[in-house]
Amino acid sequence: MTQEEINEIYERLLELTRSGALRWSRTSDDDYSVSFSRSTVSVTRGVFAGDLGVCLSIYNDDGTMEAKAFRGAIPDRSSEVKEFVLDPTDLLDLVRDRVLKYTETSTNILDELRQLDVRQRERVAR
Amino acid sequence: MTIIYAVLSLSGSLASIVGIPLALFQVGQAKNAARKSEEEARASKEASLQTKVEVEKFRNELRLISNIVDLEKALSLMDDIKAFIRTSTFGPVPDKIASLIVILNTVRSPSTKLREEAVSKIQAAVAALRRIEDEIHRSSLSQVPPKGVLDFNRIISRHIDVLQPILIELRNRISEKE
Repeated sequence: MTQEEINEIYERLLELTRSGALRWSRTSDDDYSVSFSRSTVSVTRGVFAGDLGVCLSIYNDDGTMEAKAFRGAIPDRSSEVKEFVLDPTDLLDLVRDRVLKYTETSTNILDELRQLDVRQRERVAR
Repeated sequence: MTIIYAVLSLSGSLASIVGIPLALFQVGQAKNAARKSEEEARASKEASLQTKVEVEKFRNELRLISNIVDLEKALSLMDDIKAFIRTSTFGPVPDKIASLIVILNTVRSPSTKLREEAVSKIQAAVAALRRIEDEIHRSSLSQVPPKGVLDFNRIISRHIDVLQPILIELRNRISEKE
């Protein structure tokens, strides 16, 4: 796994999440994951290398973490889990919005409020 | 001399008259025998192919039944793990999870011919279980309660809910075959 591959994975995740092609699920607090046939990717807010931030983790078919990418990563660190430098905050925000349906909920509320408003005006006009 | 020649010529002609139909009859018989043996060979080949197909079908059915049994076992193990977590008996959980992952890997092997979506769901369960296993292992080393322990059973329950339809799908395959 290389930094270029991680960057490409991130860009594709962003793009496919935006288009709704990926089904993320909430794993725990501020922790979301999406699984493919032989791998899983998760995006989590937490403390990484001493700093509060967002981390993108990649798990293999055995469920073992293979790589993680976050802002303060040290790619040269000798470890079983490879580290890459990346700030996946945009992805976390997008995934949160998709999973918790913030936009969808506010749109639904606004739609219903607008309809109620129209009906109210019609009633008053009569 | 002429008489002898005439007799010989006549007997030769007679032999030809009798011999030609006899030869033709024998050729016909040989042809029939060859056709019969060819038909027999074809029938035997077809029977052998049919047997092969039947054996393969039987093998697939056995594999399907074995996968159903495995998935039932996996779901039951998940319930066991939940019971251990509920009572904070974390000791046996990592081993149970390891066995569970082995079973799930068997179920999602290519021979099961599961849909890609089902394979991804099993992968999600494997990844989630491994994370729980890691947390419990880490906590046993640090003697601190596992991080996110309150979520463990909720996570496992969610994966049980997701795996259950796969079991139903496999069971339906048996009914379809019947």
